[in-house]
Amino acid sequence: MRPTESARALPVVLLVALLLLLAARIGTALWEAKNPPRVYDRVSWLAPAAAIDAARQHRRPILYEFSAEWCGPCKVLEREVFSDRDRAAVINTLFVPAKVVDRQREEGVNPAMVDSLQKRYQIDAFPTLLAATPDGEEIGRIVGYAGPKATADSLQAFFRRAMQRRPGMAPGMPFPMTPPPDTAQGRS
Amino acid sequence: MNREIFLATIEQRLRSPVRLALAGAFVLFAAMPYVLAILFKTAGAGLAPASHGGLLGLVFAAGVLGQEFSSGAPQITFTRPLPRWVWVLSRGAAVAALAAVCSLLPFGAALLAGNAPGEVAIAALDQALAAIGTSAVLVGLSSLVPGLTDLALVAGANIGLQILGVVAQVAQKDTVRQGAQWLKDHAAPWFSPTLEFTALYHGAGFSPHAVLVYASTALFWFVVACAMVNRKELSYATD
Repeated sequence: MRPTESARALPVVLLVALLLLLAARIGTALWEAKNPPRVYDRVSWLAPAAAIDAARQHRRPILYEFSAEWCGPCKVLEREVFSDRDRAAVINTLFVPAKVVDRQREEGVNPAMVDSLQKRYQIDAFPTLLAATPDGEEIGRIVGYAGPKATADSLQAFFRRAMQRRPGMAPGMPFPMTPPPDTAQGRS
Repeated sequence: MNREIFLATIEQRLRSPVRLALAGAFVLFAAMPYVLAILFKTAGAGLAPASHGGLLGLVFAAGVLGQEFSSGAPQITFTRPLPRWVWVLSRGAAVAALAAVCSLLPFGAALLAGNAPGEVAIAALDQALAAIGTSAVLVGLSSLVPGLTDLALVAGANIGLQILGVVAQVAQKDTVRQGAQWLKDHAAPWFSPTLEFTALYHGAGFSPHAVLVYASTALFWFVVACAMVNRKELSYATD
């Protein structure tokens, strides 16, 4: 310490840096409210065919997410549920998650698996979250996006229903975090 | 930064059996999925969700300043011509470094369990940053109250945030629900600053706001701590 410097002096640079950071924090908050960055989907999605195999092997229900690139509520669902650490962990633990992305509007035709699942479960709106037993029997569905809590509550209820119908089912370790295969999304 | 105070603080923290036991438990718990994966030969099963970084920050940084003032040690320390902010910085840096290093330990097991080094490194970085961020918060809170009361402040803040979360879910009026959610979203990072590079690694968009939230929160609590320590009247202290 220099002889003239007080032991209680706080470097001005710290205060200036704090003020600048706080101003930038408010500025970027306002900017990102209008231009949100791309989110990270924490759910370990599998291709539908792989999900059916995994569900049979691990005796867990399948959770299909029927969505489309152009679907606004699907993005909100992704941001508020699938990118949320706790909610994604619940999905990964209770279900074998499978993403089914509609490509009708972009490519004029859907991959066969996407088409067959949509017809089988009569999907007419996006997003639709549909829980099914490993042999394909529907347990329940959520059409549209009703908010994070309602979605989480419904998924828990689907799992309880699945256990009642197939008593051998139980939650398990989450599957490894892997990006969804292109084929599952119809992007091949 | 003062090297002697930095090292003395690390030594002081490592001499506390309670802190060591808690830190060991958190590290072991975080490493457990990988140890089991190695034992049961399911290696490469992926990284388990982790949150031990923040907990280790709590363990090592609790009472980092408050306990000192309760014990009267700064009365002696500040008889030397030592700027008080240097003392705060040295103690804060020591607990943050200790918590960050301990938060990396479970990832050694993750590597041994056959996980991809890149994934492990990013997850380890996230936990180290959580440990440093939580330590910074505790440095600030510890300057406000004596002893280990900073832990009560952390608990109080978390209970308050949980209540806001419940209000945001169950309130009848939209404005109340949205207000509570807004308040929770903006208050939470002041008490648990984290930066998630894992999301970035997996293709999420870069958020300058997230970086600024982390940096400004850490610096804010450091400045609070310096201001509070500067206000203390200590006998025999140099001014």
